[in-house]
Amino acid sequence: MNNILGVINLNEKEDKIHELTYNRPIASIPFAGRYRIIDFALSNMVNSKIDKVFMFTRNKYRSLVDHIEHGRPWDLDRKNEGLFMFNPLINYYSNVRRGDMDIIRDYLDYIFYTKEEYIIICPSNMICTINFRDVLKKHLEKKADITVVYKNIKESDEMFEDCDSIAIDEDGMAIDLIRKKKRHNNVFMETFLMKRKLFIDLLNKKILGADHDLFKDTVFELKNNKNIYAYEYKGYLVCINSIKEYFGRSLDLLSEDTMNNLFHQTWPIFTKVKDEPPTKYQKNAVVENCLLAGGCCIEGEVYDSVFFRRVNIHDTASVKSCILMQNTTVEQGAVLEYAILDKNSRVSKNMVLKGTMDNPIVIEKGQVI
Amino acid sequence: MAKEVLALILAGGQSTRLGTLNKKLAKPAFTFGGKYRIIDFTLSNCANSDINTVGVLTQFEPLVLNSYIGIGRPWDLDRKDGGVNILPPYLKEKGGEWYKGTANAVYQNMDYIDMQNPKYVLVLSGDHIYKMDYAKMIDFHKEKESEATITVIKVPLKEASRFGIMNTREDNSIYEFDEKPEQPKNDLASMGVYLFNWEILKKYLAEDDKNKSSSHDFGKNIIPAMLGAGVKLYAYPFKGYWKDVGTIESLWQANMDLLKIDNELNLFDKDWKIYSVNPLQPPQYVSRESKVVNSMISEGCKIFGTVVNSVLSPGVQIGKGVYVSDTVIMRNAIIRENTIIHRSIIGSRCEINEECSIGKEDSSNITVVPYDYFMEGGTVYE
Repeated sequence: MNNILGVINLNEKEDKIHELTYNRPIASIPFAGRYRIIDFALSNMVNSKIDKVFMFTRNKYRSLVDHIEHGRPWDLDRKNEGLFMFNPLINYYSNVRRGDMDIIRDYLDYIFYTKEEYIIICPSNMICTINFRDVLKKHLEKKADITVVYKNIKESDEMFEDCDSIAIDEDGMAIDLIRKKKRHNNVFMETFLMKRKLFIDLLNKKILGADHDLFKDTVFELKNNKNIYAYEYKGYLVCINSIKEYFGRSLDLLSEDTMNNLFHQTWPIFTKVKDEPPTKYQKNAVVENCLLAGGCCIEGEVYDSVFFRRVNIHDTASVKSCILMQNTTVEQGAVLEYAILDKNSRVSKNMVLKGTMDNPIVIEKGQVI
Repeated sequence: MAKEVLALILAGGQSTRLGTLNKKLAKPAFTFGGKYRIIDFTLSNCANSDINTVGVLTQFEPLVLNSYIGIGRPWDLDRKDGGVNILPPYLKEKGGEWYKGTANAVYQNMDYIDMQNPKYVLVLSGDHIYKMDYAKMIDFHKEKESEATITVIKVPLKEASRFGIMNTREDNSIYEFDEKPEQPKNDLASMGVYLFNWEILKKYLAEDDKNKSSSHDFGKNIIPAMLGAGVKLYAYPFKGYWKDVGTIESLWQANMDLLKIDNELNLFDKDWKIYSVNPLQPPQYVSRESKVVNSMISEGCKIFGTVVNSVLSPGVQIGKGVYVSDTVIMRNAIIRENTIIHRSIIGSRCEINEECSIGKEDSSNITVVPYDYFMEGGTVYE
């Protein structure tokens, strides 16, 4: 049964979301009120009954280490299997962004000495609820060498800017990787399944290559001599690669349909939970169309917003279409519209902050405005 | 390895007066304050007081409680040395029997206590709601060179006859103990929190066991016997919120107390957190047409109606047009469209269909809908 090794490859570009990634990778950005982005990939692993997961981090992994807690919240703190974090070894080309091939290659012996036949590789910032067992089933059915995962979106869809897509032939085989900008409606979810042995061969093959090689390029170089099957995923998908996407997709959660799409009984999303009391709504609180985590205290008015734990809204404050991360405070008389407050920040009395849907104001971690 | 303090939580009592809500649940396992179970308070007090060896004595309907406590991880009680142990009655060389009283329950676990080898034994109730630093009580006990210390709280004199009352000298030493006196001389009631020197307690428990007419109870038998024999007993005064939630009314009232501004229990206090098994639920959602006033709402709730002065546990769903006031709703209960609920406790996993009417706004009674109850649409239930 447990013949799949899970690999979470945190090779995610942060250039359009740097306001939230000064101190953290994309994987540990808070999302959906009580989660971190990484929770979804980890939950997909454990819900797919994969109990050995290797996570390859980039820099700034401290907040991730803090969140992961030896994998306990995902039941991945195990004697034999479980979660293994591989942090990058010293970067000898300090200014060069190393490719994921090179980073994974540093730990090749770990991949070599596991016993799982298959390997699944996925990122963290493609938030979805995918069952990797179904991917494996199709992979075997199609006798593929490699399976890649995509989602078909409407041509008019504004989302998934900067995502790569894949070209597919009439037999459902992936024939090419199409880089960003040339938009296409088969969004590539940066997810691969193959035999572990093939994965090792691919890493070894490039051992003399440049150190910034990307795994996905290596895979698609094989398009002419390997069977690359394209698996279509049909569920909830967002890609958090910019502030705009983060903001927009977070507010999208304020619809029952979207919530039901992302959270269902059969596919629990696990996360590290802090002990917070239930959220308190005071006498004059007005709360409309909001998602709130525990430990908040609401005295003012809040509309169309997402609150993480321990958010304090004082009386006469007004918050509309905002994302307030943990332990943030909005004081009396302050007015907030289209803003993101990062952890531990505070908006002082009578401050007015108004952003727009496409360009929300971002208050950095710990700032007092 | 010798321990300084071993805590024993008495969690085996039958929940007779809460039986209308759930007959198959030990009292300490009842839901309180939305996401908590009653025993979370005692366990969290232990954790916050740096007591890392805790025995939980269970007997009545222990299954939910046992699986809830598990290895004690949520309270940081999964320790290499010590930690939490569930202690049900067991068969011994000379046969076995149920726990016959609070003192007998501890007496039957003599071997466990000796195994832990503590200097002091802290005896606690698993069904009280309060926040208390036991470390301070232990300091007091040492400072007074006490042999048995009983925590007391001031109660209104007119209610004092419901409690065990301690009559003390100026230095807090106890000279007399009145169990539920008709004419109380004092307003210092025992909270059922006892700290004993184990060597002394052991002796009195053994003697009490031989006395066939004893009811084997700390308040009724052990404390009076110690007093009579001149053991040094002190009353440790406790200030703060304390509630025995043994009845439907007190369970409801304790929940309502949480809604008061500046309530003494203050669950938001970062320095004395109450730990619990956290639910695996998405955040709560409050829709555009809903109204939530002076209430506490937990994870996973979906609110589409009006909620006033109420406490909702994780996963509760409130449909459109529903009006809920002065009510406690437990885990995963579903309240469908246009139902009206006043002054009630709705048990876990209840399914209340459309247009029901539960409870009365002006009643002095609390209406109880038991766990797992299915209510047909349009029912009037009081």
